[in-house]
Amino acid sequence: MTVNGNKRKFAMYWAASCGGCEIAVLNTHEKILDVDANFEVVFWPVAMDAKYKDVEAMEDGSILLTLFNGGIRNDENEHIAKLLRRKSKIIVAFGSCASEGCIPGLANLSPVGEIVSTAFHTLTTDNPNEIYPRSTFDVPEGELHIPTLSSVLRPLDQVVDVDYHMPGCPPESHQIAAVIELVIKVIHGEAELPPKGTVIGAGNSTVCDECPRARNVKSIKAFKRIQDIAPVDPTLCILEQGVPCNGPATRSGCNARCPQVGAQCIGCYGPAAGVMDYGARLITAFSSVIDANEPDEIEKILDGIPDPTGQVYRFNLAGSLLKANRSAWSKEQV
Amino acid sequence: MTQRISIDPITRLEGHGKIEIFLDDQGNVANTYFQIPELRGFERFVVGRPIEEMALITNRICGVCPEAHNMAASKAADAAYKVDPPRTGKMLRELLYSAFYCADHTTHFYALGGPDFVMGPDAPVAERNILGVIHKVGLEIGSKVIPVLRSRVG
Repeated sequence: MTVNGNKRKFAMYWAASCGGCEIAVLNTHEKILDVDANFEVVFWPVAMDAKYKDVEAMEDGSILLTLFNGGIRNDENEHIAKLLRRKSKIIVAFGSCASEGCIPGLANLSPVGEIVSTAFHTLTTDNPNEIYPRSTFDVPEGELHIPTLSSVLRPLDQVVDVDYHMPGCPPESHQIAAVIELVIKVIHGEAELPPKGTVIGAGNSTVCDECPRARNVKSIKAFKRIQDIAPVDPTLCILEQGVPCNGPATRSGCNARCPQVGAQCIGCYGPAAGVMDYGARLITAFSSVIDANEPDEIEKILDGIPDPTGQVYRFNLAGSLLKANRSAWSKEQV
Repeated sequence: MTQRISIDPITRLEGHGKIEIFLDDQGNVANTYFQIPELRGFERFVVGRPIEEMALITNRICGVCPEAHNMAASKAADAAYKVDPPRTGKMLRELLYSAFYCADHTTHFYALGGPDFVMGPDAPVAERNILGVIHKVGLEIGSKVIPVLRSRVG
């Protein structure tokens, strides 16, 4: 894969995402100049004005690298995912949404009809005529189409074949810079790509392994909410202080960014290497620190975690073994 | 015969959008429809979750302006607990928000909206973006400006 005079093509796309991954890429600062020197950017909605029809017109396999962020929430997301898969040699599930569903995956606990009716019927929503979105809408000039919501949100690898996963919400900019550097080396024949399926731009251990906080023997008589223990001891393990911290199950790569500043790990780097189900691993970790033998007492301690599903699947529900609440799988459409 | 122009997707802002423009027989704009082709369901899945989670859930609505959502959620938590933060807390929030205000405007000016004006509306797509601006001012200036941005973000 050596340079032949033509720049390699680069694309970045956001499906059901927030734009934070794009900002993280822009925050690689001067690495953007390296991208510019080595790539021709052909599609990147946050930064350039190329349209879907421009992508449709590209030759299959003509894009070397596509960073795809955002989950698959509707048929347009799915269409673009399949389109970019066809056009790209390497497609990276970039960031938490594309690799495991992220926060928007929490929507998988609700049927899609409920999601829509809530969104268009909140206390602060001004919708006196009860107008709800429809995929097809007739106007005097013709027919309008908006995408149809899927019954659940899916990570990218549940829709297309994915070459690499890059976790993080968003991926840390220094990790993105390292990945860009590697790809450029590969282009110049100075490095090899990692095996397909590799998790790139992250570590192989857990957030706990990167966390500088002191760890002793953990034994907890009660779980506490972070606002109930203020001030947080600045040097002691946060889980040891009774606050559910997702570090034990979460992949390293962020230098324990949140615990370093006195907040619990929320799990945005996804499952650590070898963890088959993030939530199951976390429940095991939490259970192991409970200092009680009587079922009633254990039950009481566990009640100290007010939102167990949100706690252990905050970023990972769509990518977990569960994937969704059963009711969300209903065929109900809007 | 009505002519239809689709702008799909709209670009260089956070949030997904599509614009359908219909022209009449004279080629004038007869009607325009702005459409939002996305819904992730934050309104639904924040329901029933702990108040302290809101600041970290709702800032995922927009990764370009997470600070604004974080601030709104923090104020909602104040209201839920019926507390008035101490002066230092309020000043820290104001400091964060001021920094965000500067960062957000420079993001829009340099990376999102600005290139249309610097390069001109008729410049080719490949040049009408932040990289085109860097090409225009020269790599030397570009590589001097970027470290300034880095020191700002810290």
